[in-house]
Amino acid sequence: MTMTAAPAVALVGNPNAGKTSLFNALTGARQKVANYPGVTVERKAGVLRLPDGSSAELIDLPGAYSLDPRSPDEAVTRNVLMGRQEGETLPRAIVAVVDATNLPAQLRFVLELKMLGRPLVVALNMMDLAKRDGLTIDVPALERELGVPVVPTVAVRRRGLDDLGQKVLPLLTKIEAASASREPQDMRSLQRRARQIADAVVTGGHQAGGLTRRIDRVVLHPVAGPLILAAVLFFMFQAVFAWAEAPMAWIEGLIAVLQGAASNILPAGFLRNLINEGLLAGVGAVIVFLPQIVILFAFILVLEQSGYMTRAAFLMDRLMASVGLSGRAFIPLLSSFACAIPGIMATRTIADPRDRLTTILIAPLMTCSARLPVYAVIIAAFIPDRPVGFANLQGLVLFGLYAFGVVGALLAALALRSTVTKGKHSGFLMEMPKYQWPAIRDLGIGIWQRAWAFLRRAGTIILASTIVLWAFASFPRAPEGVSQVDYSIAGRIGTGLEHVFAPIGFNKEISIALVPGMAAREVAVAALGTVYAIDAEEEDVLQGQLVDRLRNAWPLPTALAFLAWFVFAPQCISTFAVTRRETNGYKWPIFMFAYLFAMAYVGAGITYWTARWALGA
Amino acid sequence: MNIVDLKPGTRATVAAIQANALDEQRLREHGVDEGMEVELLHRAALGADPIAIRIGNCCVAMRRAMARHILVTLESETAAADVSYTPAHAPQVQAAE
Repeated sequence: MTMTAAPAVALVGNPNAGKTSLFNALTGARQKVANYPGVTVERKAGVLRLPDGSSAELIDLPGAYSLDPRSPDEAVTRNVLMGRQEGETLPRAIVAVVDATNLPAQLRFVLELKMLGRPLVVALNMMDLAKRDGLTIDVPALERELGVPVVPTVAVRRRGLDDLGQKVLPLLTKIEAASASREPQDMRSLQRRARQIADAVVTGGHQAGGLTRRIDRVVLHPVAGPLILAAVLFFMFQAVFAWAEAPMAWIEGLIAVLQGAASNILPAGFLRNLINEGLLAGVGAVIVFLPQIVILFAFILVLEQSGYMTRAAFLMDRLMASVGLSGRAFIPLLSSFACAIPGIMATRTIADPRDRLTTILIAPLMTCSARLPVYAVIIAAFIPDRPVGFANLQGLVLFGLYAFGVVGALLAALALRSTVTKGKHSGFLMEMPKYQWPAIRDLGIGIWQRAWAFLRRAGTIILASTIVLWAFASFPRAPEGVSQVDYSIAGRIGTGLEHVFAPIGFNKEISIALVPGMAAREVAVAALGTVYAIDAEEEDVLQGQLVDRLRNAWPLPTALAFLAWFVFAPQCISTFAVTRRETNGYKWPIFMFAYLFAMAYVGAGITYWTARWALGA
Repeated sequence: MNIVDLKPGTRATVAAIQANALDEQRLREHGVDEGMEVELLHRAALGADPIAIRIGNCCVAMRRAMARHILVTLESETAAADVSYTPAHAPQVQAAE
């Protein structure tokens, strides 16, 4: 049975009800992540195995609080459930995921769903937390009150999954009219009815949320809270660098081994050059950052799944409010430190359109992992490795680059919020879930999905642009006594661009490297490697001596200007594409690129001329 | 009084939501309702904004501007106050059985 022919079951629930955990537990790691046509809301689907051996397609709908959408995410949820979403048939059954610790509020949404008139099963999730809070829930009574099957589950411990399948199965075999209808609901009467039901089926719970309260008393403390957040973030970034060191060395070693093997097997010439200098050097320079991306996302996922992320949003709200944003923007912006693309996609949870647009526009200013290869090479080449107080000068410069990005983002937000995204502030309203241990499976699947997205990018856009660049730099072949870089196509483009970039201190090699660097930032390093290696002996490539070569080729002001450029410059085709999709048009991505270019040009120029003046040149 | 006026740790009962239709709906979606027990839990460092409140068994963070829409009466006064919500102690009709 193919996925498309299988009946579809939709998973619906409040954002913190454990919906994604349940989805992961039910479908395993084999999930299909795509986008709904026309909107960038993620469509996550997997195979639900049913007790009779058949299967259904399980769709993980975006978290929602009601069927009156307030964000693009919630609109998709409503449209799918009503059979109105393009590219999706009306689901045959709905599984409503409910947080058992908070039934009065959660049942309101269940009642709203029930009124759609579609086959419905309630997954009474987080039963372990309800127990921890001393709550007892009379499940048969709840079934009677709601008039639909109710299955207690603990998604993170895989409890109740078989029972859930048993209850879903009969709904799929029933033949019924394929339509959903909905009349406007009086929220108040739904709330009252939900509370009546909760009062009737829940007993106990006077120590409600005891553990969460005790933790919050510390982590939300006016003084201790921000300090703890700063410590968490510091530890996170520190770990990204420290822990990634060893695996990065392995990957580099592996690339070198492959290059050596290629040199042994292939005769010197076109193919060997293409593989060693184009393919392995280029893609290797990117894949080497996979460990850092994985570690950063692992931290972000732990923070999200444990419930701490919303506390961080709470603590950051005041600061974000001062530049016209809300604490909610903190979460996508933190993700943007790994990569702006998931960061921009995460803005979908921001309900206010202006807040959301502003957050999208400043997301590329967060130092994403693609900048790290560039920073790492330039810092290694030009910044002395010596202690400064407790820290190290190279580390301080790196920290400074991150800080510049953040300050630049806040200033940009302030400027945007008082000009192009001017308007009333929508405020900040966010549920703070109970703390819980993240499930290893959820972490694993989350990390895998992000790592895979990165590798796919490395395998497509980055691979293609490295090979094209290698070809541009290698052809036409220079005659004896003429520099290959100068003679090649890339050299000629670079010579043209040099006029634009010379005022900010960039030489021709940088201008050449910036062209493929438009596809993806990290390619710039590979491009520099290619540009400088083309003229070099082959051994230089194998030994990876880019750092030494740059040190001899660039004056310090140029290197600093290059770093400043990378703090601000928009150099990522994928970011452009995702912004176009998220904002439904070319207007905002073009605006974003224009303002970031202006910032980068001015920033690099100021850096260059200040450095020249300071160095007395 | 509204919920912002509460001291942290003081329990109160929601008396009314005074907001425009959209804000009222957002608050209701997060479980705010007349007759629900609420408590001010935390206030952020700068300007005591935003705040975190407990509604029933659920914790919600919001800015003071939003929280001011939630009018409350102190727990001790609740008995005397006219609260439109009546807890469902009355037995439910269970026609299905």
